[in-house]
Amino acid sequence: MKLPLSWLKDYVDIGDVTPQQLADKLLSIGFEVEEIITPRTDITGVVVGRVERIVRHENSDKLWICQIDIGAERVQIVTGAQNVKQGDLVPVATVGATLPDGKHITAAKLRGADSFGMLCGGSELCVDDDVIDGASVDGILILPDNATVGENIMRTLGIDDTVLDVSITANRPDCQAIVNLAREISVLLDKPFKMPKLTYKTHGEYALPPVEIRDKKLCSRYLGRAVTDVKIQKSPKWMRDRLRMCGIRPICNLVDITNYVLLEFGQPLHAFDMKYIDERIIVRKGENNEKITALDGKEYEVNDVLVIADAHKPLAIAGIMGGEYTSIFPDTRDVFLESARFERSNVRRTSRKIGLRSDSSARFEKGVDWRSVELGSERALALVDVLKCGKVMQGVTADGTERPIEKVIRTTKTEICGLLGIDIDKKTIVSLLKKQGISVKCEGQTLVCTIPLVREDIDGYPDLAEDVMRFYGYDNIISTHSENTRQTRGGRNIHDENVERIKAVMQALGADEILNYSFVSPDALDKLLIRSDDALRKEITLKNPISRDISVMRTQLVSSMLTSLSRNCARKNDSLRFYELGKTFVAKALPLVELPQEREILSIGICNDGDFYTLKSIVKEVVGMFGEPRFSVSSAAYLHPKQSLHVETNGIVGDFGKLHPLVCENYDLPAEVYVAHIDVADALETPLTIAKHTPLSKLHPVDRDLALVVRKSVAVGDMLSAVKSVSPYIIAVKLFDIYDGAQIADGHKSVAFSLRIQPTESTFSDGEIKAIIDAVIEKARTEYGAVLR
Amino acid sequence: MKLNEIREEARKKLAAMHARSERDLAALKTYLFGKAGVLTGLMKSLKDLPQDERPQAGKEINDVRVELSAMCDEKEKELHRLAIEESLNAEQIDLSIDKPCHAVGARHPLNTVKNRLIDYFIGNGYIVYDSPEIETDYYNFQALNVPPDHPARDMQDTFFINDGILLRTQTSAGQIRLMEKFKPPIKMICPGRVFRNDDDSTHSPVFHQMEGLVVDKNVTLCDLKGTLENFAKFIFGEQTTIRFRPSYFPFTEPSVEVDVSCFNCHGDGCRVCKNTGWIEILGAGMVNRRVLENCGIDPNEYQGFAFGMGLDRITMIECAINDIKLLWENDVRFLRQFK
Repeated sequence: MKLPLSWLKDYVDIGDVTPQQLADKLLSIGFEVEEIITPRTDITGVVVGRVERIVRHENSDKLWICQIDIGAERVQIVTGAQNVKQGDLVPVATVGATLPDGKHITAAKLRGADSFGMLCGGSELCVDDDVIDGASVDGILILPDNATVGENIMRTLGIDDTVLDVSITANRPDCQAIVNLAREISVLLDKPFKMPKLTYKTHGEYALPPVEIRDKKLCSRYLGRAVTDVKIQKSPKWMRDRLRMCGIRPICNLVDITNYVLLEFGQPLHAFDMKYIDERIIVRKGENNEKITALDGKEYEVNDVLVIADAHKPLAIAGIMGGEYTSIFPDTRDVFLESARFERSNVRRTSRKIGLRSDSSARFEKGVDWRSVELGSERALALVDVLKCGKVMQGVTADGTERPIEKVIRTTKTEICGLLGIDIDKKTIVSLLKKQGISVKCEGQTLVCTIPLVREDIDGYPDLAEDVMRFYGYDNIISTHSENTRQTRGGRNIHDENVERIKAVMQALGADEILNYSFVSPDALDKLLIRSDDALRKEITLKNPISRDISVMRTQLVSSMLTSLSRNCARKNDSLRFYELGKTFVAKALPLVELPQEREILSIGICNDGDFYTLKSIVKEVVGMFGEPRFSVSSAAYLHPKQSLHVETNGIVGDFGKLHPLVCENYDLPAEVYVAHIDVADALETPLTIAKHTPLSKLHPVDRDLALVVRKSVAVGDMLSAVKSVSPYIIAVKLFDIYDGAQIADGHKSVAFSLRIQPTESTFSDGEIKAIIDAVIEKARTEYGAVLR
Repeated sequence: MKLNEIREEARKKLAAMHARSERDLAALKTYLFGKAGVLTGLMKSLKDLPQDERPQAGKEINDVRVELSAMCDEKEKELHRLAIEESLNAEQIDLSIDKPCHAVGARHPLNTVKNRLIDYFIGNGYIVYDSPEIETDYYNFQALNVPPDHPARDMQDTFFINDGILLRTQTSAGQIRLMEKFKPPIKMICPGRVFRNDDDSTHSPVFHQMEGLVVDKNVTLCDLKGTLENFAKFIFGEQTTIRFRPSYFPFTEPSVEVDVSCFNCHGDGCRVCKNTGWIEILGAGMVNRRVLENCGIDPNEYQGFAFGMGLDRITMIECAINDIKLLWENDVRFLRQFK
């Protein structure tokens, strides 16, 4: 909220407190000043001067020589402007002045005549007609007659004010009003608070239309007043300056008054042209197909929307915007001034539903308190009187609750201090609350606190504790270390422990950890060649995404892995080995009724840092943490059909292999990219088991090498697994060569491997070893057609 | 040859040997101790001596034999050592080049910092609680004292999936789920991803928070300050101080913003703290009584505090990262800076 200091000073004398000091103090009571908007510093040494005498320059047709009274002295200035005459008040840049364009004024001689300064036009001061009339004239800016000779021009132009941009938290909508913020500051600085003028002269009775509120929940109070014989014109400069400083465009006196009160009291008001109101005011829901053209010139359907209506038609969208038809025009004579309290969540809903926001709706949404309905109305009428822009008539037309009962909170010093943890004496508590307008009565230990209507946020003793602390000072909160709380066990859970184990292994295997957004493009699955009936297609779509690229919750981690690899490749980053352990979102049904399952996936991506077997080893290491991996044919669409595998073990399912060449193209990746996508969600819940020791054998193992010839199509890994299963004494089978050159029949290959045979009870005889080897050869022969080389 | 002469000759020969005299040594041993060796010969010739001289002569020969044998063994070890030492010189390699082994990978800085914080709180008796990223309106807002159409909803731009389901905007949602499950004493942290419809140079639509919650009898605002002050010292160093400023969160009352003294300038004002001497790192407060009630915990018996911090911001401060987008680009040059 914008707080011009000159406006604040009307209600509290801040003395010599600087804007920065004020900002620091406001921070200590919960109001952060986001910006101190300082007055313009690009104009110095420019004052108001009166043209005493003006004569033609002897040596020029265009130049004039003026004698100017600038208060402290009289100076001679030569000007080339043609719009200056004797008696005019003009901005004078004196010797030593600087102007916004950087010009520095010095004494000069123009065609023989001395000139001690310069008369300025609006453009030279960088101001326009919005700041002051006549600023855009070609020539010198002629100031209004009431300008003070010798005054700094910044003040005359109303551009010398400092404005604090104060951030107001959502619990203090009352401080969206300058008077209420001023009241906080008066407590803060311990200075008296002066209420704005609320008195005015009235001019007889006026027969106001009766008011009826149909839904008192949505509109708890509505009151109307009449102002007659209005003269619609520009409002005075001081009012226009203040509105502008607060970001509101001045329109005309009547409208400006309503906006001024909006800023000052936080109460939105609306002025209707009385002559267009038929018979009565009804606050009701819009009915079938009713429409209204609002002040913004657009037509809105108001079915089921709260409106202000007369006997025949809707006049305004309640709390949001008035209708064009009943708005103030230059010919308006009598005005109906509305001040009301509309329920905040209804204004919020309606504003979003019809897509229309205004300063008024913004206030109502945050919450307008009961009291300001009447205060706002009174203040507006007082301003009508001050501005002499109409006759305020006696008589109020109203409906709703005039004044609800104030909230009473009963608490004790013990409760308040028990929450804070420090001891503050009762007298201090009472006095700090009283200063803030909370009346406190002591009944024994009990503090009976009556909360002013303006503080709707106060709801219980914790709120009172906060208000005590705000002014007592949070720096008085000391550090204590939970001496009175019980010991807890704490610790990481199984899930997190498993996550850390996986990450440690991935790190040891040389993979860098990456992070990606949880949402992806809806096109990602197409780029991965995922079939239309695949379960991955059950993607949850955001209702309000930032962009299409990030609009669906991911069901897989491959696409973002590939995007990351691709981005690195484009930057010529080489040797990539990445992993991500992140959540995917699995909907039971779409559209979503219950929360989806959130399943952790481990994705791995390799580019220029190994081949299929590198990835397979990595997968075996990680999957092997949870159980013996079992491999089978993979049907993952994004993988090369001949260079990919499916893997499973306890609580783990995944696919890995070389990326399909078409997917490589879709992601602008080189041909050799390897990825793994492993669902580890169930495995992460597996309790950690510490391995149990198996006694080491004291007997020497026996190693035997074998070379078998098989057809080329034989899967060697499978054959070796079969070989291993022949005897429990075979503890290792190690492949050391696959050869298909000379001496090997066409279509065949020679597979050389070593077996390690470990006796357990006693050393094997040659015969026993031979029996095992024979069984191995027999197994390979019958199942894989192998012959001994 | 006389025994003495043999002894002296052998000694001379041994003394003259060098690194490559292995064969000479073998020859000497054969010459002395072999079947046809000189000492063997002398022993054989004992029988030619008179009976009474034999024991004395035999002893003398044997003494020399033992002595020379030991000297040869000694020489053999020395020659082996010399031979190895000499061969080392031939094995000089170029020490100036690199042939890398497979390097270990790097953890993402955000997770490194997150784990550091988690470990700190675990050490202080907190449990780590995970809660869903896709949440219901109830857990993300209503149970946290933000009813529908409450103005506090404007504080956060929410991603919606439908009317009742959204992407959680704050890890505070975890408070509710935890308190529904566990009863005091409670000490928990809930780190995780949160989402807001906000994407500019200083915001990312996905970011990370860590919520903390302590509920028991007699928990006070001073306990909150002590907890956060210790935490700030852990993160930013022993000389760090913190300050509370009043603020507003619907789920705490009183609510505070917590600033830490700038670790860079220690309060004098610098670029890091935008000349204020303070860095805002978290929001906190005493758990609102309504929130406890919503979770079936009696607010007349129990009090608690909660705090929430942005992990991305702390990571950026700790690792001097000036652009939040770097956390999500996965540029390997960036990632490997944090090995």
